[in-house]
Amino acid sequence: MFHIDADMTVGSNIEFSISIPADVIGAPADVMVNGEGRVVRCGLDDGRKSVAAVIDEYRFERA
Amino acid sequence: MSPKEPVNGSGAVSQADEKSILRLIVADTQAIFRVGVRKVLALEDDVRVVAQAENLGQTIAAVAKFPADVLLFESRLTSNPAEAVSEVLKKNPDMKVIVITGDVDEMTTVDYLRRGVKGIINRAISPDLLVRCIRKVQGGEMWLDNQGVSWVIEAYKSQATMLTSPRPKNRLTDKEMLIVSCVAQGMKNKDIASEIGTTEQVVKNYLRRVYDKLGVSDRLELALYCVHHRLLENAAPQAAKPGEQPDVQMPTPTTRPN
Repeated sequence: MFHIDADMTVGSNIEFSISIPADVIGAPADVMVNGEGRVVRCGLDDGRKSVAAVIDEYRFERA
Repeated sequence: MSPKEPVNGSGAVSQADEKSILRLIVADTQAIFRVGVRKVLALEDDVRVVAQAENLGQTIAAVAKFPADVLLFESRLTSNPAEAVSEVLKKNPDMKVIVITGDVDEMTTVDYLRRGVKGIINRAISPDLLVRCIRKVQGGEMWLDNQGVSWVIEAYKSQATMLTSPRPKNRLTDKEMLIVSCVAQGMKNKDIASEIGTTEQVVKNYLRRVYDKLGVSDRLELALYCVHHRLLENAAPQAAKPGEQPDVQMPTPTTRPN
């Protein structure tokens, strides 16, 4: 689940990218995780747009 | 054999008095102990032993049949007295249970209390202390000796430490930590196996155990768990600043068909 400013609809596909800092995991370089998923729920959380998505696929990208 | 009926009530009791009567069930394997308890309590005008039991079956039947405020329950009535207490309390959740025991350890004491026992006493308790115990427990207080209190406080402290510990890494072995570190760095099982000198299947086995221990279900969850719980902090010579989070690029809608 995440917050986002843009409008999204249930069922739409998304792509995401997470950068894990090297020093947090003891790696020589940041680790990237790229993936795709689908929006399963949209709503308001404390006045902010919140979106719940399932992750269909992801890949760790090593530097 | 059915539970033995009363008991030491004598004479007529008005309805108002009836309400203030403390009703007690004595469940103990030894008749001599039950008789002794009855004799001690016979001196108390407002305490009435409403039933006696000499085994677990009779105890449960008595609890179901006779409304009681307090149950004196000897631990030797069954091989699993803690479980029996839970069973008894299902029959009468409002009843206060005092366990009579010869010897009790820390784990058993805490288990009894978690199951709803309100007091634990030794068989060698003096008559006046027994009466005080029953009255205190009926009044909503707990009855434990000093050792029991210490054990409960220790158990509470341990539980609080476990709940507030940000990193349960002590639950993972060194080998498991090494494998977690490799996963968080994006290494594949084959590469990890090569790195630590084992087979891919062994790495998979380790990972399954790690997932179970940490409650995660895949590598991404494991990596994020490491970040949020700072699991690999010692593996990182230059640890991140507190609160540092992974940089997440906001999801973008794609045109991929459903």
